[in-house]
Amino acid sequence: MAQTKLKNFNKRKLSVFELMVMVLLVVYCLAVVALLVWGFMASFRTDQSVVQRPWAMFEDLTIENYLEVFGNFTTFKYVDGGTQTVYFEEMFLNSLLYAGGGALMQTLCTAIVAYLTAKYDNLCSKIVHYTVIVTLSLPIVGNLASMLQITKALGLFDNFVGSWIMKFGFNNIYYLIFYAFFKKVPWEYAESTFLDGGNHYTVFFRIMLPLTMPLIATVFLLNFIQYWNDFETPYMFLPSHTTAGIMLYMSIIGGGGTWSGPSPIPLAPQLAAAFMVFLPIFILFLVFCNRIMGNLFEGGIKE
Amino acid sequence: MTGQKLNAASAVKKKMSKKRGMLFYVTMIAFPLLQFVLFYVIVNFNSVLMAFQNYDNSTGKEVITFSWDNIAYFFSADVVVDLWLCIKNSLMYLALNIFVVMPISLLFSYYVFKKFHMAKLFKVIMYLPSIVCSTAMVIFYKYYINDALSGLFGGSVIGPIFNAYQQGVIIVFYLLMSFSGNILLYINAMCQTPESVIEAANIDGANEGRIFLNVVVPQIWGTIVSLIVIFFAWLATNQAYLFTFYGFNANREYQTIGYYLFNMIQDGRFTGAALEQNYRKASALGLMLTLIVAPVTILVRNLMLKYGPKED
Amino acid sequence: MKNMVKIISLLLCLMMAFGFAVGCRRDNSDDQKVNKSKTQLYVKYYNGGFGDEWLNQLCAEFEEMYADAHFEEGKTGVQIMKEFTRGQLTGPNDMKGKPINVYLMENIDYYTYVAGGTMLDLTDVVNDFAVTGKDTKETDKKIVNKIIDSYDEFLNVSGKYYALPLFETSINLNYDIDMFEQRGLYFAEGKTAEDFTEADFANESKISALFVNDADDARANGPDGKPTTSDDGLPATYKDFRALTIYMKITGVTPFVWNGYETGYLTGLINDMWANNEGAEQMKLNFTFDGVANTLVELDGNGKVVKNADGTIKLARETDIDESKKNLLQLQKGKLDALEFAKLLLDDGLGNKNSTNYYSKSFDSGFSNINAQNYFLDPDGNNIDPIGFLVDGGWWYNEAKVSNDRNIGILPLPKTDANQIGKPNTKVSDRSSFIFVNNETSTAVQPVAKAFVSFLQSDYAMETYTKYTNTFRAMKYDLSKKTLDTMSAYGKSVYATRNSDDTTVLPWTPISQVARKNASLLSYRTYGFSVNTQENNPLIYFKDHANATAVSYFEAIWNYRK
Repeated sequence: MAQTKLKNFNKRKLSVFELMVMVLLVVYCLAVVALLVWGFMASFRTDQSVVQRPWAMFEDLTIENYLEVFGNFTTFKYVDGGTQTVYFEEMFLNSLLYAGGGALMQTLCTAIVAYLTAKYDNLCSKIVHYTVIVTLSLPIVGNLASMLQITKALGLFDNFVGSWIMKFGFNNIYYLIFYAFFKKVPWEYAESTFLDGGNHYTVFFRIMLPLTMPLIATVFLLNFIQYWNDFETPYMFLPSHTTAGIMLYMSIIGGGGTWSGPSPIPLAPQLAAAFMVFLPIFILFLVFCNRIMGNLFEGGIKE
Repeated sequence: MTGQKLNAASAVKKKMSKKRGMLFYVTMIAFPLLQFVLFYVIVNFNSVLMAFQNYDNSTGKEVITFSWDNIAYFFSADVVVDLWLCIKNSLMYLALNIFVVMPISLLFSYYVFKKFHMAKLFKVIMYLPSIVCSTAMVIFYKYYINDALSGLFGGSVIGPIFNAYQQGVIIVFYLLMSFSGNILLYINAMCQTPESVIEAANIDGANEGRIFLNVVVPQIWGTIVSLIVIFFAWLATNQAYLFTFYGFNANREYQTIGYYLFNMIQDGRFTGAALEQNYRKASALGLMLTLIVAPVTILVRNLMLKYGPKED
Repeated sequence: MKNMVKIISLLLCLMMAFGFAVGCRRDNSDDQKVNKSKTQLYVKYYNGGFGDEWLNQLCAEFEEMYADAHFEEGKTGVQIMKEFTRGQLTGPNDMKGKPINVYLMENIDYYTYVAGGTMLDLTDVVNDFAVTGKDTKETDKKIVNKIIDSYDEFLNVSGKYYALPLFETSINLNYDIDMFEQRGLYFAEGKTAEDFTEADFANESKISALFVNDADDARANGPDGKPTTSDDGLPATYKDFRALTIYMKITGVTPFVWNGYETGYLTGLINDMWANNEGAEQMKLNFTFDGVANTLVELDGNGKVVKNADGTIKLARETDIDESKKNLLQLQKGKLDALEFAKLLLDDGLGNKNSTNYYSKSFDSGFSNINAQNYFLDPDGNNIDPIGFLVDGGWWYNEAKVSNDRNIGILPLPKTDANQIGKPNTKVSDRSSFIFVNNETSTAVQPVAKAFVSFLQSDYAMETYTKYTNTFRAMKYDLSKKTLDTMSAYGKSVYATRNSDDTTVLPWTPISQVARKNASLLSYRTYGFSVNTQENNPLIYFKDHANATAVSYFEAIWNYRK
């Protein structure tokens, strides 16, 4: 086995092209790793140690910064007229709800609308398709006040269901990806389903959606990561539900909103908080890495 | 059944199928459309209105009037000079996105797609910046440059003062974060390339560079065009992480249009009536930028689709 | 590889779980549960550098005072529900639908909130005596008589009051008195650098001769020109200030430190110097756009500053200021002089390799105000030379939790030249902080809210504020001898600076209707020193434009604003 592997390795010579790209990759990856490793080690050191001896990476090691995040990086919320301290685990859960629910809503909506516009050739589809293209290129400024008014008026403000409904939209870049994908999927799959007695719902839910699952999973993950790291939107629209991203933002600016932890925060605890927010996403990525980056566009109907 | 009866039955079936198709279509698209109308059309219509509003509470009551003042403000000589500086920086980031970030990301993605040496390891590391919160990355980078590497630069680099290294350092960070952004999308798109086509190119003696340029890139041209459209759309909103680095104290030389706009509506700098007036000015600037960027984006897209490489 | 990834993922999950388990030391003492037998009063306070000890004490005392009061049927007593955080209000709409009754906030544009209709009318409270107990009030001065005149001008909206001022603070140059004593950084009696030439400033022995040799040596009179006052030995003029910075470096002291993230502090300090140079009456024109300006610099047809034959700056004739001529106020000489001062903060003008006057990290955007405070207070612990002055706002002392055995003082700003010595001081307070009540407060709770606001204006409550924060409320009150005796050196320095008859504190806020119409012009960060829509910080401008002089910068400001 080892011999076969060695043989294969020797067979595959490095081409010039491959070598060039590898060099670029090595440089890039080294830069990223150096930055993250330095930041990670700094999160286990005291502030003074980091600033005065930045490269003494194993000096003054402590887990106090992480304990600080768990114990003192707190906000509060109103419960039955009183206030209750919100600790990191609750913020973590809020992040899961916001990011998970929001990502699911947006991914599904985008896939549905892209399917409809790609496969149903009518005026509405054309209008929707070109509207997405146009709206993607429109810089939107100063609509926050307007958005707040509408969400409050509709009762969607400061609750998770409201935030999910706000995310149930389709004018985003993934629409174009789904659209391109559905355009390539042969309509013959649908016609065979009709012949077998199925209807349009059957086609979508039992044929098209399963075909798109890998892509949906990818897009879901991308959206999940984006919303997990997003603090601006939940800061404005979910003021009573502090997420991990909001916690990180508040700790960096030294307070704001419902922050009730110490203020301002020294460097090392900020780094610790950053890694705490990053860790779940990193684990998720490690576990689902191959699935996400596998071959997504195989055709054929699966049972 | 006779042929006529068969055709009639088939026609009825088609009609029924069409009706059910319409029912399916309407039921599935209704809610997304409603959401779009509420959260996009109505919200942005209000923003357009705000572009022409003047806010005044000097009499003790809020008075809103309509005029072209907010638009005219951006054509005064001094503002034009500042805006032009911001536009130049924004165009620089656009050029970086199109001519540096995209080609290199495509090369990286191709490397992973072809499973070259240590592709899996590179894949994981490449993707890390896009999953770490950008705020956190800025913290790491800021202290890394200003403390860990201060000896290299002779002191702190990232700060409110203009210095020789700062723009370069900010661009390096931007590139670090940008390369990994669309890797997944490129790889997924590349997976659509039929293996037989690549094998045929191999047999014909094409090297990896030729396969990349002449086989894979045309296959994913639609995705490339989509992303370039997005880059153009970002032209007016891309802050290039300046706010996270500097708050509202970024040096004038480095500011982008997106940062300039964001700074106008930051309630740390302006409060009350000043903030209300600035919201309206920012809406006016946003409207003008939209009117410029939108047609350019559509033109670029159409040109690229028309004259770009074809799959065949 | 797959197994490796699984192992790593598992390890990380375990780390996270371990972290959750070990780190979850729960202390729920900050949770507040509603006591249904009492009336709740919700108080939101911007808990910034000044801290909340003073307010916690007053809240406890208020609850005790009203322990057996009946405001709602079936309820006895008051329970104060606290939201003491760093959350700011973004506008009047931010108050709507919230449970908060009483606000103590900063960055409040008063007129916007009045126009938004979200502030409860407090006129009856203001025109009454302050509450000191459930059935007792002060008898000496009504609250309206405690409001400083310059605040009263804009708080009074057609005879009604909707808020009361909270704190008053400026950006100051703070110095370590003990360090000054140890290193003899005081001007000796009769000594001044007023007649120094450039060659003299470069002469170390001439510089050294200006200063005391011994802590007990007699000292110069300082900026107030009076002997045996708290500013004795401190630099009286710009030239003295420059000499001090040079001497500091000779003795191994870095003259200044400030933080690189919140550079607005620097603008605030130069605004203060501008106000100090102009005097209260002329500086106030900037907030009314109405009056007669008599300190405007004359410009020639090309927008260049005109000088007299003796090289001094020529002043224009007296000019009537109104809305159409408001931009002429950009030509106030006090501003030009303030720009000269800004240059002194950056370097000593000698052009040698040791000319820089500030700590090297001061323009590092990662160098926070806390870092700057820490480096100022503990140079040995940070392995750096001692620092002469910390540029920070009045809240910094409480924010840094400085122990009371430290002798910290505030430098009275030097005068432009010897002719100005003894002139009254003017400072600007730029945080726009107020106490007000939500207009949505229920009718049952309004009396409680008003009583609480009234209590906060009592001399006792204001003195409590000063005791804890070492700064002052923006109201007229004095401190008892007992309080003064127990105050820190810093607190006494603030008292001396602020409470002297010679000092006027102007709120940085538009006063007249014309000024309010131009509210966006009057942002304290951008009003005074902008040369375009982005460059507005004097020190950063001088750093970015190495060849700029105070005069060329002044002309550039005019070129932008005219």
